[in-house]
Amino acid sequence: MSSIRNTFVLTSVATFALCAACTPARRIDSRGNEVITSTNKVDIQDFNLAADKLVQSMTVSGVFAKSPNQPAILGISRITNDTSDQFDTDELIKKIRIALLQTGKVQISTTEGLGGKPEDPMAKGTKDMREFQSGKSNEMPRMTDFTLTAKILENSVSAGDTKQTSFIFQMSLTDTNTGNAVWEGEETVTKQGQKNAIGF
Amino acid sequence: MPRLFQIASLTFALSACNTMNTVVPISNAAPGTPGFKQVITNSWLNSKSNVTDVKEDVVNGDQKRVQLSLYSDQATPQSISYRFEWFDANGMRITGAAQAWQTQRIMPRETIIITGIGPTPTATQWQLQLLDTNLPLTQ
Repeated sequence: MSSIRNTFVLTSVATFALCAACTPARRIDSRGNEVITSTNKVDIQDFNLAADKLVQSMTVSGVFAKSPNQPAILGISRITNDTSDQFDTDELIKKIRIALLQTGKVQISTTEGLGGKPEDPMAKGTKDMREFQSGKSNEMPRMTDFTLTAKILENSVSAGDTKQTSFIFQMSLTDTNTGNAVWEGEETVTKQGQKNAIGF
Repeated sequence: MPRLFQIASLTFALSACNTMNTVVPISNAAPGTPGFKQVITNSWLNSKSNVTDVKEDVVNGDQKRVQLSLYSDQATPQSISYRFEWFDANGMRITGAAQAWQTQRIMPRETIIITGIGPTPTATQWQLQLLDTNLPLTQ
């Protein structure tokens, strides 16, 4: 009887261990709770979290709703990644752009860019051609009402085997009429652990 | 050996029981009654994230904002995850660009406040989803 019980227990434990250890590749919800959390790099959920909080803060401030031009035009200025992790800053900025566009109070300029370089050269060329053909090329075009700058910083510390990394997302919105910042936001995501893990 | 089996079984059982709790507003709530309904499928989760208050207002002229107070009756620090889902007047889901699960630490007997803003002016209805994050396989 005892050997049957031991066999049952061993089989159950072995089955459980096999189920837990061998996870085949599969697609998961990018915004869900199964994404991998790493300790040394900015994860997809960190971008989601920072973008969500910063957009909320920007929205509550009401700067776009108070703009005399509706919808206000936003230009994307310098976005700096000062972390040790190499990533495209559009992973953050695109989420913010989409969320702001959804509010209906902002439009993002793709024909004006940092250093005079448009994000969409074809749109810029077409716009210039339209203005030329309509005889409005000498008129002052509508400029961006606001510009957005951002910087992402990293602060790492460890105690024994436990590592802690903070990623600091800083953002400023400048009114181009005054040259002054009208909104600033900072969101810090701190992660602590010894190794990467699945989940939050 | 039986102890190992018990631990394995408990771990498996706990991981299987991480069901979601949901909070939805009640539009026609009677005076003196809470203006929200909690759909509780996970009592343990509810004991550390019981919704005690819901407030709503409008920001930016036309964007709905909702604020909820969550109370933990536990004697140890806990973690929960939450996310807001938004719907238009017809009940159609509106997907925000950055809406994702967020983790929140809650201390013993603490009341925390969480806030959500509708991603578009048409987002008039909301739903809060709560999940446990203290489980062995999801920590």
